[in-house]
Amino acid sequence: MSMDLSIRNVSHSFALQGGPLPVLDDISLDIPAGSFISLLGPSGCGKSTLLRFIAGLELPGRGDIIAGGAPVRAPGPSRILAFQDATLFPWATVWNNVATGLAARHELKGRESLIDDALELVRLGGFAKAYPHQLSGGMAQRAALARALVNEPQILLLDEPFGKLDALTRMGLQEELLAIWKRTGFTGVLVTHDVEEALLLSGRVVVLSDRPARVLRIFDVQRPLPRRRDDPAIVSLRIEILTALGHAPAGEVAA
Amino acid sequence: MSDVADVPEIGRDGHRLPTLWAAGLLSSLGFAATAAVTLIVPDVVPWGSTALFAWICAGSALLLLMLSASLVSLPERFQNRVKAAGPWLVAIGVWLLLWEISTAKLGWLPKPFFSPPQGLLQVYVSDGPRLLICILYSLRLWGLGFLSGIAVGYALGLALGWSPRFSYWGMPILKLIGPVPASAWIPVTFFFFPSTFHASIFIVALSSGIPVAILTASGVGSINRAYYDVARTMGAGDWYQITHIAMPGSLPHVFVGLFMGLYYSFAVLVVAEMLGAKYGLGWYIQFQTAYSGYANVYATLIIMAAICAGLVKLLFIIRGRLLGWQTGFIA
Repeated sequence: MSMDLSIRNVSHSFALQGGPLPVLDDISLDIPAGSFISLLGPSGCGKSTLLRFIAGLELPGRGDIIAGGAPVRAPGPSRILAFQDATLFPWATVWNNVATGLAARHELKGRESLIDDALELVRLGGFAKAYPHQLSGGMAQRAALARALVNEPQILLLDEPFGKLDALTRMGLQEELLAIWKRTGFTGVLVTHDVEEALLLSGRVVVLSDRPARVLRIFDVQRPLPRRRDDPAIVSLRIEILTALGHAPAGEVAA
Repeated sequence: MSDVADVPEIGRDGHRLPTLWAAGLLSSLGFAATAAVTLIVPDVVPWGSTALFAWICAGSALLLLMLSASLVSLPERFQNRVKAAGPWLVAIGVWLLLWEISTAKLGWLPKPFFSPPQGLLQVYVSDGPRLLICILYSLRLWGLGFLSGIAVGYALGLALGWSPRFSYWGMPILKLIGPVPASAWIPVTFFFFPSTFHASIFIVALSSGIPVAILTASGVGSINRAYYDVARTMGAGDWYQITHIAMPGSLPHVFVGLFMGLYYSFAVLVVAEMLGAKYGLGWYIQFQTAYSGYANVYATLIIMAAICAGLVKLLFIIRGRLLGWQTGFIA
């Protein structure tokens, strides 16, 4: 259940009052079906904009995005975007939040068990009737993940999904995400500025430049999953990536 | 362990008498004093219903006395609610006593401009049936006006909040006509509406619809745009986004508009009933004002205030039901 994704020469500028503000500069990427890649770059460099283009929420000024052989022109349930904030609807129960996609597409009838399964998958089975304000930050993010996964997306776009969580919760959720990805096999695109997170989760790390974003370097991470943070290969890759981003750690020497 | 448990024991033994509710006792005293003064001291001018008022006060005093003696044995929920009302009950007892003395007994606040409590009671006793009809007429006018007003106002507000094009044309017009007082519409409504009753409904509807429309529009506009993105990325269409995001998301604002509309519509009820009405509380107030029947005016104002307060309470209950999902929501 996945599709390949091809980003071809995508450039974009926002029209601001002071003139155009270029955010993406000729980005090209080929992402094979079922792989997991991370987009890494300074904040505000346009990573999130690229995800919105892949989701189809907006269209790029130039270039094409091809998902599963067809150009992306509008949002669709095969490409689901999960946001940095859980953005659960506060007026709906957790169950109804997770049911959003199926309900909106009139596919819910007779398939209610899918919602329960998705909640079990993220270990929120007991919170179906809770309202979002009753959840902790990590639980809300897991509910948001369930809301995305229940649509069985072939491409899952994650926009810094763990960015606002504490370190321990984040580590737990990274492991869960990895397990879910192994089980369901979607094509994953993760936007993050946490180098370690990118290295733990993805097969490839794409390092983007400051705005307007260009592809600076692409790193292949060939270590088997699940990975250890203190794996020497991961540590040296981390230093390499930080150097590429212009932040060579003081006192350490790039391997 | 035992010394901790002993502390309340000693405290409880310290009170020999069964605990009496002090505020209840005090308020009972106030009502009893009012009853005694009303019965014993003669009125300066006759008002009627003096004895009835005295007996009502005496009855209330007795009831409060019984309540203050038995309160500890009642369910805790009920106890707490009664206790919370205590200071008010005391104040009402004192207020009635001062009111009675300064008007009926001493004549400091003279007829016809002021009325003692029994004067208002006399209005209900002597003019009760007519007032009842007036209440029903007013409720019909208000109900039709308010309900049609908020229905149109809500639909308009959703459209204004949802569609930029609708908002471009609609918002300036709404802002222009919003501050116009309801009475200013009377000449126009006479031309457009087949009967004065319809014109009256329109004025009530306008006064309740405009705040609902403005607040609904601002409510839809205040919703986090990311909610729409979430729905769109999962393939939700416009209709789903309106019914499942715009409508629930704007509800907190909508209720503010409903409360404003409720108060405005009650305020214009008097104006609306100027338009050739034959019954109605607003009409009754104007009629009695013209004949210096101020006791009747006060008595009617109390009825209107009570109805309005009841409707506000009802709206609060509905809001509590619908907005339970809000964080830190205070009912």
